[in-house]
Amino acid sequence: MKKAVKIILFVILTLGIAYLTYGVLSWKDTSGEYYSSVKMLDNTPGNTVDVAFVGTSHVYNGLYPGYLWEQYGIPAFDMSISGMDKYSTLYYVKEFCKKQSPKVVCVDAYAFLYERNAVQGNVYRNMLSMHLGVNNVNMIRDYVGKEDMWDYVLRWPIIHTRYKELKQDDFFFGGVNKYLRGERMLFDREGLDEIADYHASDILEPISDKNREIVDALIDVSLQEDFKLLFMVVPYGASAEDTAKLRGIEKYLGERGYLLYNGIAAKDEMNIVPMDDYCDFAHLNYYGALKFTEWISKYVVECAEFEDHRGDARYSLWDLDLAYYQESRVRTAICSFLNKGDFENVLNMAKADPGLSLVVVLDGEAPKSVDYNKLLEGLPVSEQASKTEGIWNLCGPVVSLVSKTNTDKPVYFDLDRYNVVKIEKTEDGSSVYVGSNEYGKIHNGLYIMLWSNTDREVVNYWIYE
Amino acid sequence: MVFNSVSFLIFFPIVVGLYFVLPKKARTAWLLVTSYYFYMSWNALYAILILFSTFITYLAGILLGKSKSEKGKKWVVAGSLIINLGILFFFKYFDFALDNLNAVLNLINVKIISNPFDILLPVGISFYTFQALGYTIDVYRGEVPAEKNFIRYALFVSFFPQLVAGPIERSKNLLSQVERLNKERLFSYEKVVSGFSMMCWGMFLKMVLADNIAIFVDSVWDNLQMAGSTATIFAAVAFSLQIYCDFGGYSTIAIGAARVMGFDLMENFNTPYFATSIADFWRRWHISLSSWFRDYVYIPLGGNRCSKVRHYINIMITFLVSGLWHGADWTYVIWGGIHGAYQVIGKLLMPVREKLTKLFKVNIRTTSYHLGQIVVTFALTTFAWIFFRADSLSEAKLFIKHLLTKPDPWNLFNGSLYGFGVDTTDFHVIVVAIFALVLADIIRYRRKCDIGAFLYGQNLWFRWLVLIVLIVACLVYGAYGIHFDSAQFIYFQF
Repeated sequence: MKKAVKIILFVILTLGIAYLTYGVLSWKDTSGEYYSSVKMLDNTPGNTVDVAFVGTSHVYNGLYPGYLWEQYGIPAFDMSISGMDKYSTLYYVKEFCKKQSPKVVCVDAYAFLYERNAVQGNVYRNMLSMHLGVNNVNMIRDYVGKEDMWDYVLRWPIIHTRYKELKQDDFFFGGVNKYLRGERMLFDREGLDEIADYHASDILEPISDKNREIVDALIDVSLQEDFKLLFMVVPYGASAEDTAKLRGIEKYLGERGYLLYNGIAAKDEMNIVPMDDYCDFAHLNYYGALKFTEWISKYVVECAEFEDHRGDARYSLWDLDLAYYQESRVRTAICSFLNKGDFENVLNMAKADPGLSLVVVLDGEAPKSVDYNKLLEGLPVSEQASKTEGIWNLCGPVVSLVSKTNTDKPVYFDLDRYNVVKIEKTEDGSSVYVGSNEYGKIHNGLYIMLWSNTDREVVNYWIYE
Repeated sequence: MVFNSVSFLIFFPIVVGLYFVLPKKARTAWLLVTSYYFYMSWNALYAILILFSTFITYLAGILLGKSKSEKGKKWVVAGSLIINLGILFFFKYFDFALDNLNAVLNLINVKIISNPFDILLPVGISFYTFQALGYTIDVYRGEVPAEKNFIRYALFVSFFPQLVAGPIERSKNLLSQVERLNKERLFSYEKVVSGFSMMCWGMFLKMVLADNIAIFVDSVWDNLQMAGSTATIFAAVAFSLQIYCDFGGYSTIAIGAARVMGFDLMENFNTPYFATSIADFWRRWHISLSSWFRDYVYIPLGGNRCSKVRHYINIMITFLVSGLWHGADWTYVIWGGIHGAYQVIGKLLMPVREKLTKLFKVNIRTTSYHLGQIVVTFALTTFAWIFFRADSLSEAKLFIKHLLTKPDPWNLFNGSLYGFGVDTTDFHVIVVAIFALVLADIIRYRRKCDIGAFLYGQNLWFRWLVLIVLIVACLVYGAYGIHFDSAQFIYFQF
């Protein structure tokens, strides 16, 4: 008996440790940088989401649930994953409906334009993010095929190699995944040259058998789960081949009594400006996403009866999401002011936002172009700063190291539990590090770094010499 | 089905679980059925071959038991040898023989013979054929009685832990244990724990060490034109470790799996790289095969009970045949020949060595001398492994040429070795794992017990710590999964 107990205890202990190890190694993002719409959904109370947007990176970049919450009090969610294929679309909709009872589900038709994902990482994101279950196994079998499916189903054969790429978030996973609603906000303006006129040609590629099958299956699910199904296309620089396929899909949807809400065709209606509204060749940035979200929301709100849930404690995650949405806007505005050297506005905005910190370093003399005294005006001294060499100042939620770095030793400051700023004076200036990464070097000038407490990363840094 | 596969992880507990709960009389049949299932998972048709070989050698044993005349017995043994070796020759050496014949015909401008067959080498054929033939010869010599029960005999030939890559068991050892299956209480907590520990250690050797080292070794061999002395020396040493961990790991798993079920298989590797001479190496490396060749080839040829010249010829024949057993290619024959030559030269130079040690007053009882012997033996075996690893003689020549004529010591320091498929993280993992291997071998060398017995003798917390570390290491650092080669155990090709 004693031996049997030992064996059982050993098995339990081994499985426990294997489980913890799996937790560290498991696949953790759906859209890069440890953002996981699946984890965000896990953290969402059941039966709270009224509108789901399902699709690829076009969706999580191009649609902000925060807009629907802010404008209408409608709790929406981006159930989207980078490179979501047609099989994943169907099974993620089914999986979504296990815990939620959406009134409207908008599906991104871009997922129907390709058979296989060109990027292996996206295959992992789609196949490995869903919780193991019937939907997951079926999805893997349909996409990967029977021969390789068990490597995906078992996870270990794929994820065990992640020991080479582990980061802090693999051990302390959480952060924005606790409250975001699936979106990613990017403010870059890389731009597109143009988006071709959708109506310039009427060449149509008939819908493929597989696409037809998946569309029919989605319609069946919508009838079964009693939600309104919308098909949409987030505007992007579609090729002639893509638009031909989209016309084919649109035609079939029409035969089945469904519309395709085509952002490419409606780009002028939305006033999409390719040079301003895109962060790369395919994805809307913040500015473009607002336009598209506003446009599609008009159709979404007409589809069903929605209750305004603002003020309801059950929907507090949407309030937090909105706060992050607003913090991102503040962050962009601060960057803009810092680009212009408008420190008064920078400090005013940063003081009001606990999600952001400023790190300020002076090397030598402040440049004449900067009103340094105005910058320092009214900043009290922090307790930590007062224990360290140099001159330190703290301003509310804005942490600022203001140090005339005339010391031979490096100066350290904790941004949070794991991230430390180091400022090291050398003959040719002061180098600023966060951890082991260098973020700029100044020689006789002023340095400002914008740090996001939410994302635990450097947003940007500026040097005024 | 290989040991490091999900299917084996499901298969083995089911087999063992039912094995312990079934009535005694059903155990033999159960193990036989599961062994055939294991073998047929490779290819169902293979079962016909092993069944035929089993039947022939079983029949040979029965006839030997009944035969009164020495001449009759010899005919039976000859018949069994011809049939079984004939099958082995057909499946393993026919293509090789034909290629060589055609090479000769080509030289004399005679039309070559086309190959009418598309022959697939059945996995494990070299192992079970030798095991079955060993039984035939043991019965002939009167060392074991003929086994009358076909089921028991069939299990002896096909016992799954050692079926496809050894150890090549002797009838005296394994058949007697099979015979006791129906009589004895089998479950032994000590054997289960010790056997499980062996399996974990074997998996570690195979998955963490052998398969990861293979990535580096394969990369150097695939890019030989770019490799200098540094890379080739590292690759040669790494292959020595790879083949030890691969084959030794497999044997360890096999011995462990058998031990869980109460069987004691023969030891197959005993710290071979601590050998102090080539002869000593062969007493430690693939012991089941080297002892088989000793008992069934070398000694019948006369062994060392003959003239010196004849003795050396016997050594060379034994090792050349051993080389050929490993593979149907001249590289294996040369590898075997090199080992034979080492031993012959070693014997010839023995008087010179003794004179030199006396002349220079070398104390042969010191640790430094012992260490020197180990290093030299390792270097000699590593050199021979070059031929074993090479796909062809020309490739082996190219490797040796680069090793000897392209000295580039700076490549030790500039990180270029990381360009051969292994990054710094992998390298660190391999180094730590090699450290564990050396430690395990030192413990084995000094304590004269295997890792399973050693761990069983330790405190519970230590044993659990080691086993959990081994299991997690295999799960995390093992070279398996969709983007890894399903690297078979090297010896499976035999």
